Amino acid sequence: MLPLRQQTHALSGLTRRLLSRQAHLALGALTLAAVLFSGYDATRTRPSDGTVWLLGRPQLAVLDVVPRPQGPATPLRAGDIIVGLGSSIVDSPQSAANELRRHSPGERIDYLIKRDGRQLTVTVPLTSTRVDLQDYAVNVILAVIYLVIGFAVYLRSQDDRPAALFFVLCLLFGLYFMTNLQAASYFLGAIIAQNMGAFARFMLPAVFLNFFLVFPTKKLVLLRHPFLVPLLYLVPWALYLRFTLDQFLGDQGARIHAASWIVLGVFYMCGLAALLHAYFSYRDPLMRRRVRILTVGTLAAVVPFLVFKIGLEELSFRTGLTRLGALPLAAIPISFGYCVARYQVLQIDVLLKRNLSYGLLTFAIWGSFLGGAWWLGSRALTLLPGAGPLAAAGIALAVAAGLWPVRRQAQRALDVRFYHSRDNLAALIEEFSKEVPRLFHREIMLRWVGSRLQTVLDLPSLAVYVVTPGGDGTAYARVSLTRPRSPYAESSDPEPSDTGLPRARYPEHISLPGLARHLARHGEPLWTEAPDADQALGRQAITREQVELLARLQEHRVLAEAGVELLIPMVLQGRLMGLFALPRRPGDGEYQMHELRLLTIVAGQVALQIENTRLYAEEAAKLRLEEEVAMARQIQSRLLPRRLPSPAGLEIDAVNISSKQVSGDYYDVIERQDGRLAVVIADVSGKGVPASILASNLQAALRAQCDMCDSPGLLLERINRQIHASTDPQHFATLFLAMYDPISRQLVYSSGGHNPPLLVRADGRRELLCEGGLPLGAFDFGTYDEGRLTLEPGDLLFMYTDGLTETKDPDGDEDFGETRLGDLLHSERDQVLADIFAAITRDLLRFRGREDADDDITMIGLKVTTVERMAMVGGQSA
Amino acid sequence: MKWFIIALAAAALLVGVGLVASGTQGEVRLSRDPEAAALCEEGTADMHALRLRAAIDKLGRSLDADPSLAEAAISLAWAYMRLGERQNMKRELVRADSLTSLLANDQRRLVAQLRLSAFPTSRFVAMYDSVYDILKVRIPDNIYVLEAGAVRIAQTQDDNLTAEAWQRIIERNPNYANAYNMLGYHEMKRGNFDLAIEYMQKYAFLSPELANPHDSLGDVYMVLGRYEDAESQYHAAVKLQPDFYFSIINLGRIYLARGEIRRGLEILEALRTHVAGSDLEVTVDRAVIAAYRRSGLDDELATATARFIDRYPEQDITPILRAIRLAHAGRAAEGKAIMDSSLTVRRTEAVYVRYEKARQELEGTAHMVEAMMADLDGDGERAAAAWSKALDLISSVASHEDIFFVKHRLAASLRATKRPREAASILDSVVRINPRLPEVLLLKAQCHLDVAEFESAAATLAQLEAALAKADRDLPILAEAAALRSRLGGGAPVP
Repeated sequence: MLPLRQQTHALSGLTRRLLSRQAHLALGALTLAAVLFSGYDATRTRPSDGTVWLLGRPQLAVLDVVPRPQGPATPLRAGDIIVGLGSSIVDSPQSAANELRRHSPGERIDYLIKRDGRQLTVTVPLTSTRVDLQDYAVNVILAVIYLVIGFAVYLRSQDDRPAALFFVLCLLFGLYFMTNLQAASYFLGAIIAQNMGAFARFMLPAVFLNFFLVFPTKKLVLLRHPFLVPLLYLVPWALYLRFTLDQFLGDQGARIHAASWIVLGVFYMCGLAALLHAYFSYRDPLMRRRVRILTVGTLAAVVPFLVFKIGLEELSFRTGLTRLGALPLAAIPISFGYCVARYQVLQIDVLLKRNLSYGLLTFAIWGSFLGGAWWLGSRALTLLPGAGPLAAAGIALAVAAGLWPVRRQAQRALDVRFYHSRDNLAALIEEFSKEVPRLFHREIMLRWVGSRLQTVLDLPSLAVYVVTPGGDGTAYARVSLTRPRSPYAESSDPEPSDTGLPRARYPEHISLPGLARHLARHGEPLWTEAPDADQALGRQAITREQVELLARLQEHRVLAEAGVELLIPMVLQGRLMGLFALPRRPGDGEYQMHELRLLTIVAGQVALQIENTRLYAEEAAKLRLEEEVAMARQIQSRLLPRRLPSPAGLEIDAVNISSKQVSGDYYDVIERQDGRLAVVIADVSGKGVPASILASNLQAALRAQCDMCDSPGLLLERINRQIHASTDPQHFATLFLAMYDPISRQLVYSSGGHNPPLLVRADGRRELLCEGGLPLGAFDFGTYDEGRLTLEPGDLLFMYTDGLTETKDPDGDEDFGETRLGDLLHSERDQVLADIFAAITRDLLRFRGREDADDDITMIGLKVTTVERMAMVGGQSA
Repeated sequence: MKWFIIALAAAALLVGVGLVASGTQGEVRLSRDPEAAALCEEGTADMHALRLRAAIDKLGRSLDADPSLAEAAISLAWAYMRLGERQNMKRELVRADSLTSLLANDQRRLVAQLRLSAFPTSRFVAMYDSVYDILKVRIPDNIYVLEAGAVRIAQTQDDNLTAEAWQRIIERNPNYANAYNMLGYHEMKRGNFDLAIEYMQKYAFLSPELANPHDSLGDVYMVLGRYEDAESQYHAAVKLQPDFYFSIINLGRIYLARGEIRRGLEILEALRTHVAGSDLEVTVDRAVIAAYRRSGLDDELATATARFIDRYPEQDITPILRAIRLAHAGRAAEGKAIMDSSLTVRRTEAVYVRYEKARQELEGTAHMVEAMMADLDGDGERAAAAWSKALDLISSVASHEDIFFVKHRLAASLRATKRPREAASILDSVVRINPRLPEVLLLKAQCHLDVAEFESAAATLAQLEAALAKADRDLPILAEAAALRSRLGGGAPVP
């Protein structure tokens, strides 16, 4: 057995196929054929003996005799087996039908029957199967109402599931009414029609219930229980199967059991309950008003049907109540028709409301087409004498196919005449699909879209709102557009337009927190009309839903007062990207379904394009950043000395470890003219090019003034003032400057807010070099103290940027820290600088637990060498 | 555009198939004139259902519309034959014969020849077997081929196979009336009288204007002793067809069986007078003789037999009748010689050689004659043996009434040889089928008295008296019954 998920998937695939448009149209054609046949057949005068018999028996066993309210009684009775009638022996319904065709209603013919084990001949007066004219008229009118509205709804809907179900519902009702006309008969066509009618009776309640489970909105129970719909249909199928088997094998004949009627009645009642639930659960007064007519109409139709048709006629067998049960059923299509025309429920384009003459002319075109096909076909048939019915059907089809292009052209011309925009719909969608993706400038794109829509829809004005960048997602800014006819009217332009309507006054910014959620969730057009808003707003909101509803109604009112009639949301992946705000149309003009479809499609495209433009901007910024980083690296690499001096008795070495982002780390060793060495390490605030430029400025300033000032403190003071003057206050740098005399081993230093370097004496003592002042460039004042000390052989001075000690462990809980650094330097102080740096790097990598660094790390070390070593180094230098 | 092309292709396909189908139908169509063809088909259907007047009307109209319609002419000839309109039959037969030769289609021509060969006067009679053999292979389900097959099987004397063959015909065409008649007689012979009645009723329902179904139904009722039902059916037959002499004879037989001898004889004699000089005279005479014999009217039988022997010396039963008559006259040896001579000749006939049924029938008759002679000689043992052998031989081939006759005579011989219980048992088997045969009931009562079964004897006598409720008051059997009644009242067994 397949897993539940696969079963569900397979089932949904099957459901999709069953609900496909082709399947619906095929069902519609079949039903129409059955209805037409049944309607025609019911008008034919055919003899009937009034018997009902089993289909599956080798003999014609009479199950029941239909009572005759008028005319002579039949001597036939239930239990009889019809052996012969007229002057033929009959062994099947077909042979009985053939024999009956030879006779006429009113005739009295002999029947050879077997009764109680004996054969005898009785004379049976034949009656007519033709129905009573009044019954016929009632049933035909009801069927036509259902079929016309069903087909109109379906052909105008775009794969809308409720509309498809409504269509099937109408088909079944139409079939039910027309097959209701069929009397008990031996004739094959009548038998098929009767069984199709029985099928309609069984399936109607299930479709009825299913429809009200998805209309006006899909009920939660369907989402929770996906197997409910198949189960829903399983029950009537089973009942119908039993009914069919009964006809062949059972003893009830073409009658529906009382139990089946009860089950079917329960389905109807559940359908009504679903509809009532939908009605009462609506908080939105507008929606309630839209559903109210449907609810009342459906109740008025189904309740009498349940009471009179099922309850009294089928269960208590009281005849003569058919009309009482059937006539009110017309209320269903009529109420739906009204709501389709008034509120465009089921998303149906209202054709007739717009122009009745269009419908009449369409009817005339179809009439001409069918009449012409029939006439030409009959002419062609005369040229082929002896052609059978198959050939006649072929000729009719060929003629119809030949005339079809003519009909299409005529219909197209009519459509263009009456509905130009509808005719251009496909072309417009294609145009928007081509143009919108090319426009990567958001404002240009929106301007173009707005302009085209205004032209196409012939609107006096139109506004396009987009979500405010950086806003909370509920505020929208109007895109500033200018057009010669001022379609996007300024808010300070209240005078009437040339159309006679007050111009819409679109606010610059609007905030729609309540409607935004609704629009993002549904993604459907929203009419701002809220007729009961005032009444609702007068009440006090208690529940959260009521609060939200009142907020939405308030927003409705604001929009309505601004002259906005319709909002078309631009939704992308559940996010509201923007809105089209459309004004009221002049005259009686309403937005048609095809226009709404166009607007919805365009809104979707625009939403996507807004997102595309955002992504495009982000991508461009990213590219710019990458270029900047490359440039900063280049600048930084040029700041750092390519080669360090190596005076006698001193070992100098430095390391710069770059992170992904370029920071402002900088170090330098400058050989002064007096023989002293100026050692600098700095860390500029910020990242990228600005930091690199500041570092560059620092280097330039230091190199320019290093020889002119013997005091590191004074030098930093000057440089501070220069940097502060040339940069923004938020840009500053920390810097440590030391001047070292290799002869006297005297070191004078000053720090501009830099983290203090660590001096590790040869005997292991540690000292921090803390003298100095504020960071450079932050303030235009401040002095920098100096520190002086003498280095002894074996002493190690270690300067670094904060990237080293602030490196975090993998959990981000602990810094590498000065203590760990001090211990490491202490243990490694006897090593050459390169080994010390290598040990620090290893330990740092181990501590960090990953390769990449968060910040640049710069280390520079001075180590006073011993005499022997100094001699060796000096010997090398020499 | 795609749908347009598909529609055109579908239309072309439909037109093509339709025209081809029309062309195919044209080859097998009976006539170029659709109305003539339809009338011919309807008329033939009526003919199958033996609605002969309707058939003649439609077939005649179809021939008016298309004079080349051979099938219509054949059906018309057949309908006339069933109605006994010989002149019309001959005329249509000649036309059918010539039209059949003109049929271009082999199959149609062969079927027509097969149908024509069923007419004894047709020149196609000799071709019957060969045509049937061809068509049996080509169109085994054709109704005429099936019917020819059934007739052939019937000649083989296998009743079950024959019944199956007629059943097949009904399955093919439930309105083929003659099949019901054949099946009805078949079931009657097998003792399934209810089924036989159903078949006959269907036959009568199909052919309400025909006398024969009513006659057939009357025959069943007659065997069962339901004389009133039989009488109404025979009356219906005569009403429908006043010259349907079999029903008139049967009406006479009913009266004879009920003891209304004068009335019966009156009808039969009137009939004889009516048909005198016609082709039907011999048939009527034979039926009358059989009726007299079965009714035990010895004087009338002797007169009728003598007359028959004089008028029809060449008839197959004439030597038998002569032999019996000579035996009655005390010239048994001469009678036996004539009988032997006749038997010798008949035993050389092809029918005797080929068919068991014919052999049983002839040998049974021979034993019956021998038994009669033994009865006349007063040799009870020999008579009983001969009747017993005759019964064995004819039980599967003779009619119920002949079997009743033989059983009655066998029982009489057995009683004469002091075997009343055996005789009563044999008679009981007759009474179970027909409880109203006076001679049988009288003999049975006598047998019961012989063995002192007084209650059974009284019941049988009561049956006899009821059977003779309408009998002529001077009927001898009534006196015998009264005598038995008086003896029974004394309570003493008849010595």
